[in-house]
Amino acid sequence: MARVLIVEDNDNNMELISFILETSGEETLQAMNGLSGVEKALSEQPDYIILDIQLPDIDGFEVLKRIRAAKEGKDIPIIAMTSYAMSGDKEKMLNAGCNGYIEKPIDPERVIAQIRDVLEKASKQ
Amino acid sequence: MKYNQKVLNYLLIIIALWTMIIGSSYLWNISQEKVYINSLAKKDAIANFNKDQAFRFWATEHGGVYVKKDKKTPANPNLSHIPERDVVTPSGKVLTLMNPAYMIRQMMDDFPNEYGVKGRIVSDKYLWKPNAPDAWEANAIQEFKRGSKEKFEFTIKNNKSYLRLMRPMMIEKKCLKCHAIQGYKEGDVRGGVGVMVLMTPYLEEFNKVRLRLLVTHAIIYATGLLLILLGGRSFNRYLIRLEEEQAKVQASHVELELKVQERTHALREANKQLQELDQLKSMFVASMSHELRTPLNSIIGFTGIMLQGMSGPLNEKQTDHLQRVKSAGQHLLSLVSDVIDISKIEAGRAEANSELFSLRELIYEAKEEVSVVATPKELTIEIEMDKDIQMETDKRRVYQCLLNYLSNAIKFTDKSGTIRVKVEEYDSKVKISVIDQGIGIDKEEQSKLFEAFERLETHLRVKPSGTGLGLYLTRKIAEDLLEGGVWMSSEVGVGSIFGLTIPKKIVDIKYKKKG
Repeated sequence: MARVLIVEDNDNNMELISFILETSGEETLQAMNGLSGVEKALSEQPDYIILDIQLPDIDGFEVLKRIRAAKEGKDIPIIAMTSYAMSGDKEKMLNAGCNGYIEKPIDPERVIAQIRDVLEKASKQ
Repeated sequence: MKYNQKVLNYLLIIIALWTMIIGSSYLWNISQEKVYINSLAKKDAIANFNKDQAFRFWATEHGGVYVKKDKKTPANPNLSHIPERDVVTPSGKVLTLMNPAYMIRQMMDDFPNEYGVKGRIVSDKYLWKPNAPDAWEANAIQEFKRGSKEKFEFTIKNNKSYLRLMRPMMIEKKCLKCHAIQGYKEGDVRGGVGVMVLMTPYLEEFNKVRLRLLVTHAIIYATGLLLILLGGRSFNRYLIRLEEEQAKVQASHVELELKVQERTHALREANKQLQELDQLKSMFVASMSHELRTPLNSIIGFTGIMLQGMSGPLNEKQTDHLQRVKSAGQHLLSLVSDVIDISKIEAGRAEANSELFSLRELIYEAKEEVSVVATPKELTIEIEMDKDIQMETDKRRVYQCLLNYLSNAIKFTDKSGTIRVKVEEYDSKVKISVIDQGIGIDKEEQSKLFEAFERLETHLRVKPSGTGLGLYLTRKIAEDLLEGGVWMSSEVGVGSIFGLTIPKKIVDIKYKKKG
């Protein structure tokens, strides 16, 4: 069992991803905007973070940058959730220090496997 | 009337030329006339001179002539050295000897009118005072001594114009009878014999001719001048009309040009507005589509959860209905995704993300993905590829095109057929063909295939489940992002070939991935 911080402003998406993760046995922490996401990441020290890119206050890139800039945050694996239509964002996130990405719409059947893959790769580094 | 400056210049030149021609003709004629008149006067002078000479020679040959001596004809004192200057006839008449000079002088004095032109004898050793030479004559005598044979001069005396002619008078043997006393020998220049012709009648004639010439020349000149002016006037009128017409044409030309410019400007503006509107539309569609995606993701996501039984068990009907919700949501999502793609490409905001990949792997990946739909229809997908090709282009976009062609082929092929994916390499390009044994497409319909929303549903036996944007999007991706193109050929009942020809490597810098 791991502690996951989910940074996602959309209520439905939040419910969807947390339900899937909780069903698979994870403990979830939730942040509905970028600033609280950064704060919770640094204070709660989750095992990994699922980060949406489109956020109301500061966007996912900024959140990523701030977490990575802090001593407490630089080693936490971060998985970005990118929209299919914003294909350019995927590369930008990876370049900015993201460990992996999940493309929206998330597939409930595959999402757990996708997350495992990223975490496995991250732990090898 | 207004005169064109050019015409005026030409006119002035022509008038000047005409004046010169007539003027020089007049002057030339006058000079010819003068020469003629002078030659007449000269002839006259020579004739008179010859007459005097003949008379003088006659008298000389006779050694003078004896005439009655009286008051009018006294003895010549210059002949006093001659014996028998004065003789008495047996009857007692006294005669005296007249030498030629004396004779001629008396004849000219006594009958000036009958005699006509007056002769003159001069000598530097004159015996009789009136025979003394003037300056011109003295000079002539000097020239005769140097061998000159004749002297002419036009001169004015007492306000009258004369021509004078002088020839030398040489001492001959018969002259010595009288003149030996002066010390002459044979061959010496005794003096000059001359005549003076009064020029007045000749000049009068000349003046008459000159007047006649003047009148005729004036008439010719005036006539010519009139013709020149009339010609110039009508030419000027013609030229002015021509210029006016030219100006009119020019003006209408300018007007036309302005109109064209105006219209062009308006069109350009309209075009710009259209482009802006088009871009706005594309941006609007892009952002709207994004808003549409978020709820759709929830619908699909939660349906998926329920279908997996994660939120509790479902009965058969519930599973079926949720399956329909999910597939409808997925259809809607793919429609939205296609619209986003197209509008981004059309708005010029999409760019290719070039990366290195193996084409063979990509094709197998696509085959794997469509096998979910191909397998239930018992369709075989064969891949014909000699060797793997390394690509350096937008992998996801190539995949998108491949997937679209493959799903179309599957959709329009009846059960248990074969679909072939054929890859050919041409220098820097690859040609990927997806060949099916499906229902085929009418020739007339083929041209519309790659346009937006051209689904040929009315002609198809199978109800298609696509978005109607797939082939259009494929074309847009191939042309605008991958620097290639699409093509197809088909025959009803035989099958269709859909092709994609793209460069192995994207060259254009604007498509290259940043960084």
